[in-house]
Amino acid sequence: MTHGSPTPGRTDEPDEIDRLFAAYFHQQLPKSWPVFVPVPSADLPQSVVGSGRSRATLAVSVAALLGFGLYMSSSPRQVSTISESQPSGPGLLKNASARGPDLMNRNNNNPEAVKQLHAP
Amino acid sequence: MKPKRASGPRRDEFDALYRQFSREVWALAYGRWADADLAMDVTQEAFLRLWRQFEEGAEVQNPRAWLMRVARNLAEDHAKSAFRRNGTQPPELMNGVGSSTSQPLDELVRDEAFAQVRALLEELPVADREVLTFRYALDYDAPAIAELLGIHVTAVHMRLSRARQRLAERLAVQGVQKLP
Repeated sequence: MTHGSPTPGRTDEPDEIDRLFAAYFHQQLPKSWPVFVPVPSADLPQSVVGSGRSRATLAVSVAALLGFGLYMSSSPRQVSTISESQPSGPGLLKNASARGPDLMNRNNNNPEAVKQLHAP
Repeated sequence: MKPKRASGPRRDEFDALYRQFSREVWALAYGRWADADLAMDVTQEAFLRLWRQFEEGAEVQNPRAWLMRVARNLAEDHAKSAFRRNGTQPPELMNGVGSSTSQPLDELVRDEAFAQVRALLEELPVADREVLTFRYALDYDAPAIAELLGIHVTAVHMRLSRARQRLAERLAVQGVQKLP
């Protein structure tokens, strides 16, 4: 649809650059002006089906997640012992722990141990 | 109170508004984005919102100003969402990419000139593009543009002259001075 929009008169004579601009902008204008067909909001299809489907998908997803969580929590665990999980190898002390009294301080307070450390 | 449905005389009133102002709304949106399809989307959305107002029985005192304001807001919203999606890349980045279909040489030369106009148009401020669109797409003169944009005629003259000169100078640098 074309429509008769008001066309206020032009006052000056167009030159070459005006013709170029006019041609460009007229080319940009839609060739066929669409007819507006408003749909009354009361007649709009309710998206009950769509929302119901998405809700069902969400419910199934949550149920699957809960089921998987329950399955994982009820299955027998493989508890690894400390000796199995502890790293071993040259340079590592067996059953050594960083916890406990400060060993360095204890050695510093023991003159015999200090002597042994500084002996050639 | 039950809202009255837009039908009969109100539908006729709406159709008249659409015939009268839809091109102006399009031109305003085009001035913002330099994208004809997007401008049409904005136009349709603006009129859809006006239709809803009619449906709810709301009185719109100045439909023209109302439509312009809604179109401006829609264009701004699109600008924000497009920036989130694309960063600083304009949405019309691919507009200048040519198709593989064969065209007569004259059309190719003209399309090339139009592509240059479009590219340079995008570099202009939105206010400049607005007045150029109203002037050249709708053939509006300065008083009509001034009334539409709610600014003084002198301001329109200045803005139009400056925008036209800027665009013409940049096109001249690229060797485009007239319609091929």
